[in-house]
Amino acid sequence: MNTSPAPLLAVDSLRVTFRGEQTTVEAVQGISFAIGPGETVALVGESGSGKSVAALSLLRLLPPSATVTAAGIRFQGRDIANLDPDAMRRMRGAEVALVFQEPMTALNPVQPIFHQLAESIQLDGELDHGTLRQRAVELLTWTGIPDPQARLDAYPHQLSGGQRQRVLIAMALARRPALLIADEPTTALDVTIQAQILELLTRLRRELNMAMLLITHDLPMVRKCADRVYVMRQGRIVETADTRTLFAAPQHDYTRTLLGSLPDAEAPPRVADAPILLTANDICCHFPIKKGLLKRTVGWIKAVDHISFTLRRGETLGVVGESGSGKTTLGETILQLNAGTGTLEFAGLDLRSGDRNTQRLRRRRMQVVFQDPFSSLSPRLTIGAILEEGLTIHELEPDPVKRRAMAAAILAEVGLEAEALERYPHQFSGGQRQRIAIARAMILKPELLVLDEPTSALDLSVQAQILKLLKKLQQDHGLAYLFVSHDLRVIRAMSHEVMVMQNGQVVEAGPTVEIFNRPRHPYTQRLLAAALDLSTGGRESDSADTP
Amino acid sequence: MPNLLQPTPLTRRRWRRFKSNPRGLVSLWVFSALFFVSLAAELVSNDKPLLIWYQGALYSPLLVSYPETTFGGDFVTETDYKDPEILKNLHQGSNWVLFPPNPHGFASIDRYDTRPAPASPGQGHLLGTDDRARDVFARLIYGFRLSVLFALALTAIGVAVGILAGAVQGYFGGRVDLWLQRFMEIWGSMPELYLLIIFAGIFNPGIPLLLVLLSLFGWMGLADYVRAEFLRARTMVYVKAARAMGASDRVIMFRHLLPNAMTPVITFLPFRISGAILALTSLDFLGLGVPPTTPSLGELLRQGKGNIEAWWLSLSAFVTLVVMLLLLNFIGEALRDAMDPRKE
Repeated sequence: MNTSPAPLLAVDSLRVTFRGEQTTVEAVQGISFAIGPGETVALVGESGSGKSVAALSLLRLLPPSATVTAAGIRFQGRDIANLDPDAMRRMRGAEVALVFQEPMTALNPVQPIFHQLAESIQLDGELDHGTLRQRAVELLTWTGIPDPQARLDAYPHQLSGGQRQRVLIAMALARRPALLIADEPTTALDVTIQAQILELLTRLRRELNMAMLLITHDLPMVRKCADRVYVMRQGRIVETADTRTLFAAPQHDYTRTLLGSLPDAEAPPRVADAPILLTANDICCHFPIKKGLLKRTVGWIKAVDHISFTLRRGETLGVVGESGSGKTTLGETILQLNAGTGTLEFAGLDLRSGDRNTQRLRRRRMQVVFQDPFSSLSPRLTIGAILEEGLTIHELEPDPVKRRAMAAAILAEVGLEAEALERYPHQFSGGQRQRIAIARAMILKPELLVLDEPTSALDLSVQAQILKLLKKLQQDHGLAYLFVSHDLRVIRAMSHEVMVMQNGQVVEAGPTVEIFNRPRHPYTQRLLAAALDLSTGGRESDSADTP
Repeated sequence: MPNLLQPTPLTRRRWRRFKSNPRGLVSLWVFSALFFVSLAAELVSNDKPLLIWYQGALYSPLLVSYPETTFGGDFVTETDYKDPEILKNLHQGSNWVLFPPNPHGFASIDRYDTRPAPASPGQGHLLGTDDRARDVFARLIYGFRLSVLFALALTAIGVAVGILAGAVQGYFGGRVDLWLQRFMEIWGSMPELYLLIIFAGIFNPGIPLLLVLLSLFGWMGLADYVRAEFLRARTMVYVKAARAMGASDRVIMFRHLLPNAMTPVITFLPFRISGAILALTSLDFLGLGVPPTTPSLGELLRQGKGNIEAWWLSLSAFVTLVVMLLLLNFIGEALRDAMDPRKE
């Protein structure tokens, strides 16, 4: 390790063990790392690698079931591993501050943000109200919140996600800590906001000459911000190097897998003369806003507003947009899961025709895979029961033995063993569950699959496997996909055509290559700049960052 | 539905947790043992012999009704096996007779006891007799059986109706939920006791009438819990997934949602049973319940109140009730701990 001789933080053989009801889990298995003054160090790993646990254990913020041991944790030359609880409490916030992933739950919902900021400021000593307000405004101005004076009396729910994260950062910086631990600071935010928050963190870090420990799974972000990287896997550090070296020449197999898991930068080739499968015309889905005692409708939220498109057999239409753009609602309207309107012509058939039962049985031809594989499988049914349910509903196979065989076959197709049939959803990992969700859709032999953020809840390497599986299924079965995602890289790797949505409307649509290379609408341009700057570029401020 | 019969890992874990509570487990065993014994109450306490060997032939008076003439009596009516004349015949020569451990039925009046009724324990009556010279122990056994069976039936009906009502409200929500909720509020504010008194005056009170009347009001408490579980679970993605698959409302409600809503149902089960037992006892005590010939704990308590000096009446009924309710509450407590979601 080529850190400066006196690191700000030096951790030696840190171990964290969790005691369970029957088992104990060693979440962190003896890791050592160091952070120099003013340095940005990234702790990278997939979920469950122990990166957050390791960071939280430094400030003893873990639940009582955790046991932390270390050969030494030295911060600014002091041993903080055996610090008494009171001294540790005083150190938190003053010298080491934290920024959490989820800005909504990290703020107290029943207090205006001034109270929460004042609390952080006041830990230094009692201040009068006027000075407190002034300091709070300063902090907010610093983090770039527009109109900070008025925002002080706002409640957390009145702020946007990006603004909330700025408030959290302001709180963390209130006492000018020497080290900022940022635990997935942008994961819950939209891409354009992500870029802004990252810029803010980089700027503030430079201005305060503060060190930062960045905990993330987002490789492009690491590449943009970090000086040095530690790659963690299953509680151990497998590789460490400065950022440039790591991305140019990864040494460890796992790092290589991780880097290789970034989605292709190439759009898939078009399918020649593919017939049109679905024509959607003038799709609308408006939700009424009701107010008052009599619940009168005072306005409408136009979640999907006059959208038309066509989808060809064997091709993928990518729907991209930030949260709240209506892309998920559009998918649900296509599946007729909500009260949306508009005409849907599916393989020459008007989907709105026929009675309830006909429409219900028609659902076999259009299936769906949802984002969260943890809540999309019935927890009390076995995998076999989940897979066979569709066959029973649509009376595709009366013989239970053959049904079981079909379920086993479809499991094999998505890459799972037949023994999974007897097990329950909670016994599988996220990626495996998503495979099961795909199998549940595929067993009905649909022609169209609506994929609603199918990889967003998954780790990068798992995401790559799922995308590969989806591509294979598309080729083998000539499936059409409506692929909804906020992740532009995934959209580019999967889609033949792309629709960009904002506020319920399509701002731009066209072939993927066209959209990504020559975006015309300013919103698309902004979106691409925010996202692709992350995925392709190196660091633009390298020289200024060296401490 | 095979998934309900085959225990899930969660069910197995809960059962393990239940078993780790010794008080609950012992209570369950004791209660089950008492219940099964009481199911065979005819073999334990009866004024008819189980078997008779009379003049080279075997008789089973429990199953077949024999006229007195069979055993050398004078009448063609059914034999009174306690008649000293008949008993003498039955014990003559190689004849023998096998009575149950407690040779009294719940309705048989001991005409041969010379003491005035109610008679204190002893002289052939383990717990004495009541004010009509009927054996108290026999009435306790049959009363226990009736209470538990009545409570089980009432609970089963209440659970079925409660689940159905709660499921419909929670799943469909909106207007259906609104109207059913208002209906339940009105229904729940009806004076149950006065209705019972009125109906007891109009009709001949009996077990079926009580079952119907108590069921009319007994389902509401549970419906609220099931409704809440359904309201919560219906927004889950797996429900959306099932709808997208083409599953009907019925399939979604009973296959996907119900297994997740069973926790409050099962947790409340022992408490509902003990509540039902108590309800029947109270009504009997007030004289609004079953007719006096039916063995009932409440009726015995009422006799105890009427004959305050006959301590064995109130004491035995009281002890039986306390033990029964205590066992059920211990089971319920252990079950509640086992089902606690915070322990999962």
